[in-house]
Amino acid sequence: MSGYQASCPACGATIVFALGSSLLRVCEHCGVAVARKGANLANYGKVADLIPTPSVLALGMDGDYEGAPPFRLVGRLQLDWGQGTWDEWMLGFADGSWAWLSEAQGRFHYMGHAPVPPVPAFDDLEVGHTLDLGKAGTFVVAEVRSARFATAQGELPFAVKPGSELHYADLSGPGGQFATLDYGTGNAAESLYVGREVTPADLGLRPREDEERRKAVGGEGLKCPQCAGPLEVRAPDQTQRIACPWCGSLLDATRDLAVLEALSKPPFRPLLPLGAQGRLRGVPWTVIGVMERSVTVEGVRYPWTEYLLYEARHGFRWLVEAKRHWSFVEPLNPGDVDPNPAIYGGERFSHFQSGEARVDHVLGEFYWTVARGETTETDDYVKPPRMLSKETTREKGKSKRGEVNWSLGTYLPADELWKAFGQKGDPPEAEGVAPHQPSPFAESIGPVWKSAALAVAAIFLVFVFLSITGGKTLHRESVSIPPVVAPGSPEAATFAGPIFVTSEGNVQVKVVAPVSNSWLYLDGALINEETGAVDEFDVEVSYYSGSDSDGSWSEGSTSATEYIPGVPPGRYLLRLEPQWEAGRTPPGYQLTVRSRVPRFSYAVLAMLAVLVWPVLLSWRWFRFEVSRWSESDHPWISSSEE
Amino acid sequence: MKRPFTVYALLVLAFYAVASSKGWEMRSSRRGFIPQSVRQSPGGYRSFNFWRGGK
Repeated sequence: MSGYQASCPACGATIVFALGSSLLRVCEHCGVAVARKGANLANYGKVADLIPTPSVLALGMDGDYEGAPPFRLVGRLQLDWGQGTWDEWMLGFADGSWAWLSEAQGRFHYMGHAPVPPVPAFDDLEVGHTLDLGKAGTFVVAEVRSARFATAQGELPFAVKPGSELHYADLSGPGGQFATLDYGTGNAAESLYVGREVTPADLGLRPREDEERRKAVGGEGLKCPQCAGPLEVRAPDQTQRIACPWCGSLLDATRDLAVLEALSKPPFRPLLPLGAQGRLRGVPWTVIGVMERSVTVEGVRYPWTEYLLYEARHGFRWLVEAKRHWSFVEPLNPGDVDPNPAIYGGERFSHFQSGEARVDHVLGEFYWTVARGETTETDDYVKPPRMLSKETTREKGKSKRGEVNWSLGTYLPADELWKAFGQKGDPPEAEGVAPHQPSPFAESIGPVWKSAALAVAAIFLVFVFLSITGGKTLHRESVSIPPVVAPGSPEAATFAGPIFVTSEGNVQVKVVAPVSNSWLYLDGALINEETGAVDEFDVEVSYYSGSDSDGSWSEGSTSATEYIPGVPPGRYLLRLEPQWEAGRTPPGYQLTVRSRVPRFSYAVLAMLAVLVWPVLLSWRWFRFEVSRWSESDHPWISSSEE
Repeated sequence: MKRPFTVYALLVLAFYAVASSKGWEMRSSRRGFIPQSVRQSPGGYRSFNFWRGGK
């Protein structure tokens, strides 16, 4: 590193700028911030003592990252955004270059310089919008805030007086990319830093575990200053707020458990107690915080409970319970979500509901500065069994500023959760349908309809096949009726046969008569000559046509068919006794007798029998979806129709 | 859900194929019996040849 050595303008002690590009150095002897102004040094005043944070890093640590020259932690900047503090570490590389490593809530982001593309002024930036950063890609504005330069240690790459308000925007890009637009104390972007989330191990840094950190972390033997109840802090190095489980008071974990709000004990009993442990997705999670939130729509309050899960190596996750339906929720990188339309991981989610969620009650510890009454804009999108949720928190009076967070919830069967957390008995029964609850019908509905279509086609083919190959003609005759006989008289009767039925089945009697505006009625009987069994039937052929003011018309047919069921084998005689319109010449007719004839109407009935199943399945699927969407912004059926 | 339906659809198809090939009907016949004495009496039911032959 190319260093620069000088004397502190306040105390005269030797100060060393390890990097040639450093512009501010905190004197180790007197604590004054010394700024380089060309060849001169300026006294920017004494910096405050470092705020004790549970950082695992320390000035002077060495590391290396992805083939870059070795680096050393040469500076530390502590920024306060009003509700918390975080650390920015300056990495000085052996070649004189530098980069940032931000540390907040146990997460680290490594960022190097990038050219500043044309971007909006700070006042025009809005959280949730996207920015084109040129080669780096399109990023989502995940956070727009101002933070106070609280204090510093070592050296920094800019010369800003301690206490100054610095403007910045954190951006989230695809594939876990992260960027910060640094606006300094002004309104125009001064610097752009682009990088990604890393772990200390990625940087070759060995996290410290010294007495100073243990003191900063604390977490043992704590008592609530309001009620003196013992506090068990399970994530002491990351907890920002503690809601006392005994008296409900909200405490600031970063400022010696200062009482922020003396709340009454929450009037709700979480289904899973604080400290409950359960293994989900192979990770042993502990419930460290619980909060009840709600949205109110048209005067109706819809509450749900969120359980904050913690595991040291995996960080934080959520369990969300609403109407006894459970979800396992993971945070997402906002840059990985295409917000309009909501697409994540290549899957498109459907908008379900938007609202304003309010924190009603809190219990236990939280890694952010939770406060009762805190509100966020929520937008939920579903693609069962998953739910994509966007939460936008805006600063009061500055609607463009704030932060946006995305999370992905996966529906968790209650009995699975109950078992995972070792709860006794059965889980409380769920009410209604959850927005992202998997439909028990959705998966099968498509395949069932496909199978049904195949079955219908198969039935039709069977009918065609049997129509061609099946059916045996037993008798065919052209019958003429003597013109001198009277309709219905025994002399007009015709006896057809003998007809030999060889196997049991139906017998089809088909009559074709050239009637026109007339009719022919046949009173028939199929007589088994061996047993005397008689199957009686009748057939009527009638056909009428003409024309009127509406044009020509016709009704009826010149043919008629009758089926005689279950005719056993044997020798038969067919008696047909005709009747016709009196005064007319009796019509002759063509008689055809067949056995075992397939009927199309039965094929249709079989098809309907097949289709009943998918139709009922579709109906149940529809009712399930109606129930799912009934409380969304897009109900399938309005409540007045239901 | 798919497997039970497949079984059900195959059963419907098989039943239809058997019923159609055997000429089963869904209704029963209006079947009666005529005693031999009636069948062989004048004006009663006779065999075709007998009736035609007697004409």
